[in-house]
Amino acid sequence: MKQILILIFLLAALPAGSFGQQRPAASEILDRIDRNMVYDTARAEMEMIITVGGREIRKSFISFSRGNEKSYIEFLSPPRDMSTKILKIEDVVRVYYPSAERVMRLSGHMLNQSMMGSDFSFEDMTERSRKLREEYTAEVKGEETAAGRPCYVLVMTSKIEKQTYFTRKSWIDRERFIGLKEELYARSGKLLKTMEVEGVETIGRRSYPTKILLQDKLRENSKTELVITKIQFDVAINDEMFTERQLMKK
Amino acid sequence: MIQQVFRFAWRNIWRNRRRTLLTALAIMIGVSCLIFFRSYITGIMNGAGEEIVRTESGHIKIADPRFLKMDRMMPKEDLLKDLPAIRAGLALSPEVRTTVERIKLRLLLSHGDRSEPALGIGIDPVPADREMKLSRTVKEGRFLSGSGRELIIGSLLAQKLNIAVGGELLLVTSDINYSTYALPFRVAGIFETGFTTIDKHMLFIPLERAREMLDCGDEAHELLLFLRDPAVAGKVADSIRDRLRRRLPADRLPEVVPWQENDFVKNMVPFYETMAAKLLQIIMLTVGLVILNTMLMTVIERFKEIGVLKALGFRNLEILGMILFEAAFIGLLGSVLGGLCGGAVSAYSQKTGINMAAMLGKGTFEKIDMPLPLFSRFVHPDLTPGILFGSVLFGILTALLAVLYPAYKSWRMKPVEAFRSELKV
Repeated sequence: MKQILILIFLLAALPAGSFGQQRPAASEILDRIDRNMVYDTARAEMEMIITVGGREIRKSFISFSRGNEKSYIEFLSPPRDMSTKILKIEDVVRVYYPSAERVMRLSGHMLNQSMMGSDFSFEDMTERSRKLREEYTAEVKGEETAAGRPCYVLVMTSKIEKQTYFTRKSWIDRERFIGLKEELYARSGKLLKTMEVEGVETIGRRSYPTKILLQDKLRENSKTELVITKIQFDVAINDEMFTERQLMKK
Repeated sequence: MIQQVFRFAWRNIWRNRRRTLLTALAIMIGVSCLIFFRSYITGIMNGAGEEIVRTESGHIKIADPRFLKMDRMMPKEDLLKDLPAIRAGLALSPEVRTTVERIKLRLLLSHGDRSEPALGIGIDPVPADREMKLSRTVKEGRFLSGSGRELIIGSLLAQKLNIAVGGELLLVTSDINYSTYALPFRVAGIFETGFTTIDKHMLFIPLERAREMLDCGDEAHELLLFLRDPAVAGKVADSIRDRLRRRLPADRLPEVVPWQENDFVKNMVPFYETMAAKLLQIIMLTVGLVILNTMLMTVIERFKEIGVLKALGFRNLEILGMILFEAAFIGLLGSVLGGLCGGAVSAYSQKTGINMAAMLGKGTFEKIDMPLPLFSRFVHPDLTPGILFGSVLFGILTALLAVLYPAYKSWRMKPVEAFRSELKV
């Protein structure tokens, strides 16, 4: 009897978390996400499936990125979009339109415009290697299930005043540390976009979303699915790729 | 006896000229203000209504039901179905003076380092200008001359993009298949309608180029019909509907909307008219109170004098007649002068227009960014005979009304009370 009492006492003295997995701090979760999502360079082949008013429009393109600062996208189809090129260097995006043989420069709030008729903005598409840890403070709000997997619910608030998505509510996969679902809010609290990850692949040491469904809540009856058909990380990319000369090249 | 009362009243009027003229002046100012404000408010309302018909609704608008329902979103793919059949149907309407086919595009504009979103409207320059009178609003350069890659742009939009006549502007849009298409255009002219909504967000391009950008063949989003007699728009719309029903299956029928059923005209105009009526009531009350007060004081300060008249044997009726005659004369004098002055100012500003933007200070008007062209920077007051004569009559009647109470008091007053009376009502 005495031994049983000692055992009960010892069990009670153990920290509650010792029985399950200890919940990591929010900053650690952000670090783990960044380890998956942030890269030095990447080359990807992608397809956008835009569903609007019951119609489905497919667009394919290739993209080259160097960190979050430099990005180059070239559209391969459909024919009217072919050879449209997008170059982002720091905060400025330049778009080359083959029909006009001209380059348009976009910066500031114009980067929130829809990219090629999709639910993605120029900013969404050209800043996919964003370091969340540097731009947001986070708080773990609990644990829920998203896409059938246990997740941490993370609420991130921007440290930067003019951030497009000032608040992000993310459901982060507890094992793979990637966002499976996300709600993106403006500073006013208005829901701007929702994102759901429908496919994840392990590429090298990282887990990476390869099928993403994005809905711009300010557009009616519209959603865009982004499918990454091929992606390579940390590949050599010529500096020439991120120049205006490359944009104009036929 | 009556003649004697009038003669006495006439002498009274000119005995204290300063008092008479000051009272008439107060009435004149009141009536002038009333005429001007009524013309001004009528001008704003008429201007907005005409602008809506001219630039947005036509006398009858024909469009796909989905396009009309989602007008603000401008669903580019909801073009008019069976346009040739609709055109053939319209050819049989002798009431239709002009048909304007239009394409609407959401655009991204780029000039140098600047870019802006805008609304582009594709028009056939000749028929569109006949009705929309756009060429009259071109303040620099010229109106569209054909189907080339040229455009006219709103003055505030041109200012934001820092572009002048002759400059090249890149227009980017998403076509009906959601492909992105861009074309460079030369700025042929810069227009200024006075409506911030139009001048800040719109440009016009030739219909053919709009069709090319949207990749929509020979189609259009809207047909605006301008009639010989706008009053019969409802009847003409009914007959067009009937004709189209015979030519097209039910699921492909367009909406045919006469201007009286335009959302703005139907919902917003009555709302603004009620607001304007309330404002006018306040103005009339203020003017009325000024006249009342002035006339009241003019009679009350003469109570002692009225007592003397009573003591000399004047009867109540004669005193009442005298007071009313004086009031009617001063009211008539002030109101007619007010009518002349207010009428002249209103008529002059109706001709020249009032530049509200200049009056409110630089930049103030540009901030009024409503989705509809309601408030123009240039207001042309609308002086009608009703406003002119109604306001003059209002001045005379208010002057008469003002003296009824002191006249009643003096009727009941004994001479000895009148001698003792101070300025009390």
